[in-house]
Amino acid sequence: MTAHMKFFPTGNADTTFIQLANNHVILMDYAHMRNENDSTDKRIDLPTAIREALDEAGQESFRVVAFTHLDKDHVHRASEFFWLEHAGKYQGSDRIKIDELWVPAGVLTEESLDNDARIIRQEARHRLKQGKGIKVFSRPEALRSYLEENGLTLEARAHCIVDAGGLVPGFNKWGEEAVEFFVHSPFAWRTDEGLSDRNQGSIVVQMTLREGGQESYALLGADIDHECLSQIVRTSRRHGNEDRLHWDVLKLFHHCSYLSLSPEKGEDITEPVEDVKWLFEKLARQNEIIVSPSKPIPVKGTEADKDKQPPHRQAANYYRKIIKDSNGKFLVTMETPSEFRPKPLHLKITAQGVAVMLASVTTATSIAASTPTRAGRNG
Amino acid sequence: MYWQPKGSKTIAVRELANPLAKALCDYIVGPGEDYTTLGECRRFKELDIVSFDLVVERPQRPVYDIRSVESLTVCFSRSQSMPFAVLIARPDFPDTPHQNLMPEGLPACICIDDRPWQDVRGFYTAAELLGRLSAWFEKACQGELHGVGQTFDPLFMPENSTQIILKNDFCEAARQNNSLFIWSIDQDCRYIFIGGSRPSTVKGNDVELTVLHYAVQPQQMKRMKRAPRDLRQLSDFLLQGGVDFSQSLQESINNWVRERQGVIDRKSIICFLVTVPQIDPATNGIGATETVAFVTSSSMGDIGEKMGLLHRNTSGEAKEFKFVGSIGANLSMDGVNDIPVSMSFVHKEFDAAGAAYLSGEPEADERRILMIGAGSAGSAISETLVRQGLFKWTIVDDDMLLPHNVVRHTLNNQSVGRSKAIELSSNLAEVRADIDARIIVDNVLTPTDRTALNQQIDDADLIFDASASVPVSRWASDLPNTARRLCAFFTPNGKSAILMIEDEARTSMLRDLEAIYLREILQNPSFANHLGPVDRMQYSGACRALTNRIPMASIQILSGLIANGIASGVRSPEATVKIWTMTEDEIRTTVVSDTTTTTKVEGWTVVISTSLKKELQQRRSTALPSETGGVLMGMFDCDLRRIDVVGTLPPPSDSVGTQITFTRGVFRLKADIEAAAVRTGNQIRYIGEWHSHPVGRSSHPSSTDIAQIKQLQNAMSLDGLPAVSLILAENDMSILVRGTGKSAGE
Repeated sequence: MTAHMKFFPTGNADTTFIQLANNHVILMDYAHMRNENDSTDKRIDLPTAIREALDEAGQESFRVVAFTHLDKDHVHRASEFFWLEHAGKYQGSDRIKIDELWVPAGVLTEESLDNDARIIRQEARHRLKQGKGIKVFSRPEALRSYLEENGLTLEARAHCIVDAGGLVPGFNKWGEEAVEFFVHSPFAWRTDEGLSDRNQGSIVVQMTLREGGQESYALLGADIDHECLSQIVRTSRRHGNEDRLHWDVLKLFHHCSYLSLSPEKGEDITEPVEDVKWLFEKLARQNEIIVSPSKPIPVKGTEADKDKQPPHRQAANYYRKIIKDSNGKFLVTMETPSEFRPKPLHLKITAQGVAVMLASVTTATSIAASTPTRAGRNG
Repeated sequence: MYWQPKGSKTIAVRELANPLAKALCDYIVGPGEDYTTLGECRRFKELDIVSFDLVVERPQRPVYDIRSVESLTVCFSRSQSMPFAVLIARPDFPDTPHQNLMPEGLPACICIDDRPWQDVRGFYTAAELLGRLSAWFEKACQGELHGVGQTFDPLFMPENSTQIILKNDFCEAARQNNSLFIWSIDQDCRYIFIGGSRPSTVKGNDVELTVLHYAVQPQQMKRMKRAPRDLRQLSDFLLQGGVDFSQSLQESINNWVRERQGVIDRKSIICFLVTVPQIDPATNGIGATETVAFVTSSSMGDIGEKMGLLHRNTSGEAKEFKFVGSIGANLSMDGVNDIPVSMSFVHKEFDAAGAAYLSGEPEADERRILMIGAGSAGSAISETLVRQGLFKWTIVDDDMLLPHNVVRHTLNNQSVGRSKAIELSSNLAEVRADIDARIIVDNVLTPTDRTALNQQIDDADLIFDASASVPVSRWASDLPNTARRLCAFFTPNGKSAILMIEDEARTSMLRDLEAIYLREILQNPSFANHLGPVDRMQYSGACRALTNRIPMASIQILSGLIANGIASGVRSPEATVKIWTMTEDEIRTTVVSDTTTTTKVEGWTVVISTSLKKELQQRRSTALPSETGGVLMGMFDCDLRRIDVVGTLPPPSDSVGTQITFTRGVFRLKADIEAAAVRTGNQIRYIGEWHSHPVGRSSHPSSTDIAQIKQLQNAMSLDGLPAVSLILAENDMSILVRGTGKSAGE
């Protein structure tokens, strides 16, 4: 089987569905933003779309659900959709189970949360106490203290903790799942003062998918800015891990915000800082695909263009410029295939690279009947 | 860019005459709008032309240079008489498999559907057309358009197209540069046959047919990207392939002028056959060769005139000749560009390779099979196998076809009174010319020409008993050579078929398989009526000449199952024993897998199957700590001094087993033995006894056991047969055979 990725039109919000070669499924973030009472809302009915995608993959639960961080546009209404182990009221028969929950360490220690963010924190805490069904990304001091307060140690929970600069255990690109995840963030790096934490960050991974002897790479992550991105680039370079930044598919950070490129927006185009520029221009492979999980890119001079919130036209212009050299694609979730009627953006990972699938082409009659209908005739 | 042929004009969607063309336009601007953009509609002669852009599922690194958006032109016949064609006008469109070979000057044409148009035109939808188009591009990008083969069939078939059928001997004759013969069987020459020999039955007609053949060497071959449309282009193509076309054409024309120029001005068809290797567009790898035909209705005289070799006879002398040779001719191909050539359908005569391919067999099986029996089973099974590309055939049967045979035979009424073997083999050769039939009209058990029969047996790779005769099957099993043996037959009631195939190494021979089959019939409860009641009729006054009342439909079904079993069975090195049973609602298949072991005792060969040993062990264990036993059923062959132990019957209810003795009872035993014999068509009989020894004792016979076998021997000697006693202990088994058995010579 071929691996697939789906990005859903949920406005300025992230939900990435990954179907692996063995049909197991992974979800990165869940943000059901649609307003059911507004019939003109073009954002997708996410729970229905995800259930359909699960059906297509023949799965009833997620191998992994990752919450890259707890912002609303990454977790909204997740507590209505998933089966959560920590409390009976999240265990209705129609809820979807999560085999393994991925969260950055900050999720466990963050205080004064409410709604979905609080419920996810409770679920993560419950699973970590149980010592199973969870991977916590990075090990800051705050996590150690939290564990000690609960009568546990970092060492006793080592099997639940994943550090930046390595692979997430349990996945093998040579196995039937044909995938591996290299963790870029959240990370700790050495300063002159010793080990210093920058762990309140969110999850960023490079996913490698193998198909027919060829590898495709996707950079997936949350809302990090140009500084954090530069740090990732510098850290990888320092450790000789440049290849861990190669990408065929890049899900844009922070919904096409200029801040992920540079502190300066620019008049018509954002000029990225050096390290980010290198990531985008040198580490992209030919015919790359950039996915912007965002509202449509505003037209110059419109009200939307004046909005401080992303997506930013200037950032989009930069992406549109850099893909031209090799006929790459810049796809906005709320614009694909059309702004008028956005649909899930479906990528297929093939031995020849990543292809954008044309959802509506696959009509029932199409290929099934390509053999003669009656034996004995000259076919 | 779109295809905009000269003379075409743009029209509105509503002016399209072809309904599918209209539907396609509606689909492009409707449900397909996310990935299609309508370009323009045109009319060109009889064609409706719809051009549009299609978004392609192009991966980052497509195998062929396919673009993310391709501009396509679909041509529809306004009268719906022809299938649609998909053209791509950009001149740099890559050469891929699944493209029609287009004449020079026309755009690339991709083949998205190879089903016969007449079958599908009634339900073709725009969604399907676009679905297939998208799938074509997706596969092209992934390198999944398989096969290097180019479609050499002409795309727009002219009204009076010629189809060429190459006989099996064409390739060899062409390879050796021998004369080629060309003939037609219809006056319009719609179908032209070309071969290395000319059948005697073909009569002349008033068309002058000429065939010229050229072979392009693989190393010089470049993939043919466009089909030549005239003689000049054909010449250029051949010249590239290292063939000096003009020189060889000149010789042919000179010969024609000297020898063949007809007195009467006849219609002429010249067929240029070109054998070209197939080149893979992606790898340039060389595949199988194909023969392509270019046909022109110009005569040799016309061509010679254009080439400057001939001029028209205007002299007034020898008026019967239209052309005369030019003196000091200046040979040139410049003039032949107005002699059009059109590609024709080329079919190869039905042969083993084609038969196997079309039947889905992995490859033709060229082994020689000697079939004994050309009756109802043999005729039906052999015809199916021949059509599926299996075997060269030797057919042995001494029988003549009688009227009542016709009901269940593939031979017809006109063969009545003739040899089944001769008539069947000529039938089979008419199905497939390369079966290389050999015939022996003789009885294998009492041959009149033993030498001829033995010669054929020695030449065979497979020996197939289809005689439905147990002695023949055993005779076949015992033949000394190494050929693998098969045996197939129907049960007398016509409800079941049995197929036995020896393993390649012949460790299980037909006789062993027969015992395995009989054991299955004896002990499998579902075969209680396998050899059940038979509806027979007398077909003549003679009281022994009975024939069974079985419909041909049953024979066809069961023969089909057997043929299928043979086709797969002879590819596997393993032995096969299969039983098919027809009921009102279904056909049940029973696959019997068992092996036998052979023991030599007192000059006798005793054969016992693995499953019987298991059954006896099972009975022993169940009875422990007591002894148990029972009667043995099986077969004797006193000539071969062979005993097949087929099965056992449960101990009669009055049997007594203790920890040291077993006394086999007699209650209903006679009836049970008779029933078992009947169940197997009286193939098996009572042959002796078995009993078990308790834990801690070997199978060595006790004095009581010795006394018992002596008593048995006395009883069996009444039938002139030896007695068999089998003793089973925990880890070993003893077989005792006493008495000589009345062999034929004694």
